[in-house]
Amino acid sequence: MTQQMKSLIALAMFGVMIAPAEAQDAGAPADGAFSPDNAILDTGLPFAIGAQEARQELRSSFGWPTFQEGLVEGVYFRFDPDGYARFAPTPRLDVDVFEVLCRPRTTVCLGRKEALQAYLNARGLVQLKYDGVTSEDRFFLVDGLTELELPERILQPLDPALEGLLMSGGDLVVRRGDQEVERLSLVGFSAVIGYLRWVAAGQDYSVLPRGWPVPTSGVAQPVQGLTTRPGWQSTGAQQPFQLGLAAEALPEQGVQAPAGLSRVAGAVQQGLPVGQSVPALDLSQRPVDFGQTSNNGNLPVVDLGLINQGDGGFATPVAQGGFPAVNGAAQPAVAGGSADMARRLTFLLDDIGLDLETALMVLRLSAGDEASAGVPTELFRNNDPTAIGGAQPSLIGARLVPASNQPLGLPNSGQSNMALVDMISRSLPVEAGGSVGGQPFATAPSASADEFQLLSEYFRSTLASIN
Amino acid sequence: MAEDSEKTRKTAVFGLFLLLVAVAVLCGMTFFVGSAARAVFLKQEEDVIPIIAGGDLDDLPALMRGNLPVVTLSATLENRGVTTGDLGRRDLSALDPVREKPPRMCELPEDYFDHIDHGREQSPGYRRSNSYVRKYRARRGFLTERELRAAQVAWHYFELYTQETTGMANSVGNYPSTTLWDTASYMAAVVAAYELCLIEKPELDKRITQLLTTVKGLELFRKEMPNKVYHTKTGEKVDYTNKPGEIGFSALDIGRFLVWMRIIKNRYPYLGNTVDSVLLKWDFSNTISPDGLLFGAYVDKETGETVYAQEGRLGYEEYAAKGFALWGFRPILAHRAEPFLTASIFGVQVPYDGRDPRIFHSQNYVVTESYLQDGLELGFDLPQDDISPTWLSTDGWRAEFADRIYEVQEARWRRTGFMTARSEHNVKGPPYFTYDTIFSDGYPWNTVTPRGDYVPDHAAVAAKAALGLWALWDTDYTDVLYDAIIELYDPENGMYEGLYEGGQGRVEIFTANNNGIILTSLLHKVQGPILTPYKGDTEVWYTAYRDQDIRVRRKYPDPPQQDDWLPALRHSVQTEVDF
Repeated sequence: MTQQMKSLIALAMFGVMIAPAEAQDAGAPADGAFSPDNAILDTGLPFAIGAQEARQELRSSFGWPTFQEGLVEGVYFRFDPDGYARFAPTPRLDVDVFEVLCRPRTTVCLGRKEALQAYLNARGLVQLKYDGVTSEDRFFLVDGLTELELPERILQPLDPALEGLLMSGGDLVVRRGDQEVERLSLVGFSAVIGYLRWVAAGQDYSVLPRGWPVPTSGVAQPVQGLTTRPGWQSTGAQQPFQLGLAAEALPEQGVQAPAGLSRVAGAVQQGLPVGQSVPALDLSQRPVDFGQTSNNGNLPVVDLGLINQGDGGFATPVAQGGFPAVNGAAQPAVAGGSADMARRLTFLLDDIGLDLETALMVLRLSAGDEASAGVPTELFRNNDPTAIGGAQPSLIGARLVPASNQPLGLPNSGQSNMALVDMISRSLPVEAGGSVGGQPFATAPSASADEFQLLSEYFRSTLASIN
Repeated sequence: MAEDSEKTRKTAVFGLFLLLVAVAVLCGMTFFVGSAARAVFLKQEEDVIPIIAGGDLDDLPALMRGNLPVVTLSATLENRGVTTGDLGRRDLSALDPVREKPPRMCELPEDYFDHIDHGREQSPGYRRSNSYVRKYRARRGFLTERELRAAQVAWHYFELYTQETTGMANSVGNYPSTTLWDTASYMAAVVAAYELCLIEKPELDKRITQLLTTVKGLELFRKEMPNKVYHTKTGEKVDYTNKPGEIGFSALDIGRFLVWMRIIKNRYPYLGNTVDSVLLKWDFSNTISPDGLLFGAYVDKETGETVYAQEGRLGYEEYAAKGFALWGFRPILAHRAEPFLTASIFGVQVPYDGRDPRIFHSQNYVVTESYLQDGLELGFDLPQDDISPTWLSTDGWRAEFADRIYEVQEARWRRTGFMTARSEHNVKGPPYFTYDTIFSDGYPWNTVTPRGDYVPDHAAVAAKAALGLWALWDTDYTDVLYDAIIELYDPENGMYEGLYEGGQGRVEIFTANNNGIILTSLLHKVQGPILTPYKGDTEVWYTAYRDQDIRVRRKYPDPPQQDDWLPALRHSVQTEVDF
């Protein structure tokens, strides 16, 4: 059975496995037929610096007219609007390929290379599946010189430290007794995980893809065309934000992130309050016994920026820790209060015809207590709706657009109210927090108003530097 | 002495008399000659044929009216007084009566194929006229039971997936979109179904008329040429995701469509006006450059403006060029092989387009399909050829290159065991379409997606390529291909796209192009090359709009004369295995 067939079967099994979390997509076509509704990505939004949209040479009557290709963390990649992607160390994408397939019309994707499969679970954590292994098999990470035994829970949701360790590269070796059963290169694993999170977040830049430019660098580096002419039609909806971040204006890769953003990102990643220092562990200097750490249940805090070399220490700060709040699949159920709030807000906007500011004021007055109404405090802080959906629709709003059952892109005018309501609704569980299996969400509670503000400043500065 | 002198001396009177006589004789003769000359001249005046404007002796006015006859090879030979008596002396051994449309299969006499000239006694190679005799011969004969079953199943695809509202057939299964390329495949299927007696004339007429009426009414891309893709249910122009929009136009698709428009017009002259009326809606002004290159169009994403870009690479480009030439255009450069290079694969010099993909951003795929279509539909002949026998290809180098394309695939089978019949084909699921090439991007046997990924798992024996090779190359190897493919069908849907060479089974997708080419291959077995000569004197295509400036603005051609012909060329021949 070939890789492609395995991929399709694995994707089907994967879809069945996560079906409860994506019940709204149960009716999605699964016969492999092309459907334009499967477009979930805008190939005009670069996944990494230097990546560029290109036009497909189509001879048939249908297909994706565009794709995106680029180089990230030493691997070349291409992806289609339906999320199908390939990552490989050669431009031809012919050897050592990590392939990503997505369930039709969802951002639920699966990366796989040979027997290894990787995907994000409902909490946004990376989970691996390795075909053909038994409970007696042991996993090792081999980098050519040293060998590190991995804990058994490698096949359980990965904590940031273990995830970061796998992202460091090398080979994943499976041994049965003293015999090596499988050996798999982890080249591209880091990029694929970043891609999965980026897709799950609806290409939102709060996930900060690899090699993404940082503000105030002031260095604009024109991006050369990789393969094609500059003219073609794009399938995916064009988000206004993308226009502001045209590839031609991207600064150089590897520039240090500003201290404020790094601080916020690190805090979000580890669920720590902003301002609290992050203890670091340099794995390149001191090997970690994951077997031991797993036994006592306390993981060492790992500086993922140190593990992930080549990204200038600016290693997907939000993505690394997972960010369930932006993942359509991982979105917790909206609290009853927020749903009610959303329903009332929708009523005021659509049926009564109030403008947003007035509607919010009415709600505030009717609720008496802002907190009891379940509306985030910061939304009402200055009574300025543009601070939510007007001035920064693509910054915060896009981050909160559900990615599960609708194409990406900002809603049109006819849908703007619903999008705004949806945005507000989805911001609520972030504050509500939650737990799964007794473990608190790693990141959701950390997405406070201050962090939104800081991210917004970041994007403003980016736009300013481009303009 | 003196007396003698006196005796001979004449008087002055005598001299005068003699002078008068001489003058009288001279006047008499002058009168006689003048009268005779006058009589002769007057007599000749009665025999002079006056040059009447628009008459046979008035070339220019006739051309301006468009009713000058199209000059074909047979007309030229007749004018030169070449007869069958010249056989062997002037390298015109191919001289035959103008080809006729063969009868339908059910109307063929039982001994029909006993009289077919296969040219088996002819030695292969180029002739002085740059025509070419191939090393291999095509299969000819009645369809067997297995083949007839395959034809019925292939036709069933079109019964199933033709839209009642528009008369257009879906390109792929029940997905309601199509291109002109695939619409041409549908036209091929209709013609083949009729000629193989799967349908009768009323259905042929109904399908073709409804289809062409729809095509005539299609909204063009920016009022110029047909959009690349149309929705088959609504007839709307759509983008690649089948949503209303426009993409541009494809010169290659249009070229193939023109081939089949010409086939239908020539075979069924009563449909000629319908055919012409479709093409007379189109604006060819940006499709062919003065140099004779083909140009497609797309929309610039940034500016929204139309961008015209040269289209076509070795194989497809020449096939499409001949489609345009069949309607009087002069795609001189598009029809030339240059610039081309060769890659040695299993000792066969495989020709590929020499334009660097890194510069021109267009891949130089080498696949079987375009060569097959040239052979099946046009007999590897030049557009002006209406006379040569089937075993002689007047577009010589095309036939010679096609032989190489066949030989390298047989060589792969013999050296590696992989059955090989490569073409572009659809696949189920991502990436939906692959170029399963003999050579591309510097690699032999390169299977790539439209975006350039190497996907060897999608390498397959393409059903259309296999049966096309089987029809045009009567060899042991194509017998193997035939056995692999001829029962590769789902009776409910049509012929499968192919058979994965990696052992994953069938390519479980059904397409118009695949089923159309399979039907064409089967028809070729019965009737030989599909294109038959035009028998009429003039065509609306050449006479319409002569009273307006439309012909000039849209660059409609005049009836092609000998100077407008595509040239017969030859390239160096590989005579031995070359590694």
